[in-house]
Amino acid sequence: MLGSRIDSDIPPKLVAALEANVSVPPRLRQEIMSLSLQNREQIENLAASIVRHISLFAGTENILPILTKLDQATSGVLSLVPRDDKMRVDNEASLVLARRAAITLAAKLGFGPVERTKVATAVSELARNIVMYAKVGEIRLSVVTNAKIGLAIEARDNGPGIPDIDKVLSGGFRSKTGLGMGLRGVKNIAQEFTVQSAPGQGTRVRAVFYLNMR
Amino acid sequence: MIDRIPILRIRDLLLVSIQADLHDILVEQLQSDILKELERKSARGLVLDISALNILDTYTARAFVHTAQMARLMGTRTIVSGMTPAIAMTLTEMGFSAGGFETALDLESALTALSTQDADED
Repeated sequence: MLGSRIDSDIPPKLVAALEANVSVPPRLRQEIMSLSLQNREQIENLAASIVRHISLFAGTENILPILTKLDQATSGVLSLVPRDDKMRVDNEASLVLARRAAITLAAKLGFGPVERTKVATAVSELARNIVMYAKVGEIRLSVVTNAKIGLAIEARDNGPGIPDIDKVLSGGFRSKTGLGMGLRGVKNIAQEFTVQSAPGQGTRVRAVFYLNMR
Repeated sequence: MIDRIPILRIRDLLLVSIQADLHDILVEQLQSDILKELERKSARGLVLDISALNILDTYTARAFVHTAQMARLMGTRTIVSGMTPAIAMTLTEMGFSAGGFETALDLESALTALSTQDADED
């Protein structure tokens, strides 16, 4: 990114490395060949297409090994292998960065545009709660690979905690600032959701989104 | 990060095209800039075009609702245009009611809606 132009030999190398493992349809080949490092969204879309293609034609269990080979072949320029991420959240700028990191990781896991938006929105809500109520905390993004591929978001802080968490989640509590709405919203869009919180003990939220392969 | 979103005035309409990754301070700044602009010179309509956004969380959506309510009190009709299907699905599944602001599929529909209102009044 950083305004650097992609070496023209990267796309052919990527196609060749991918072709060594699965067949590459013309549409995907074209998507790779028209790659521009300037465009973050294009890179994310391409990463998602590649992962979905591999999982459909080579099986979910082969995604990581193949992505590793692709990164080796292209000197890691695209860093296709999804990696866990951890970031401190304490202001607006870090909230935006956390959201972007979530979108990028979701794309590397093959999530489509709707799922990417959901993941990023969940990070946004959780990060905002940290900034507003605890001032400082941490967001961890991790790759889940049990039966299905998923992305887990963990939000932790040592802030004041939430006194009546059940009431917040059931909608019986409405804060002026929208804490309840955000948490309930994340619970509604995530496939797994747990929250631990008590006054004086901080808050830990875990939300998992699984890849929907149709 | 940019710290301000420009507000364009076209005759008696205000047009805000949101291209930046929105964060809370930017949203608050935009809200107060819109109200100041309406105080300076009234406007019949306000269009918030969000077609470039791929995230709209409940905080920002609520801020848009509040902006629309305040603008309404100042005699201005607000339309949010260009919401992507991904945002629409996410907000709906989260349980956010979009009843708080009027929406249009795209900028053109929003402008058409505001000019039809014109014809209705004549």
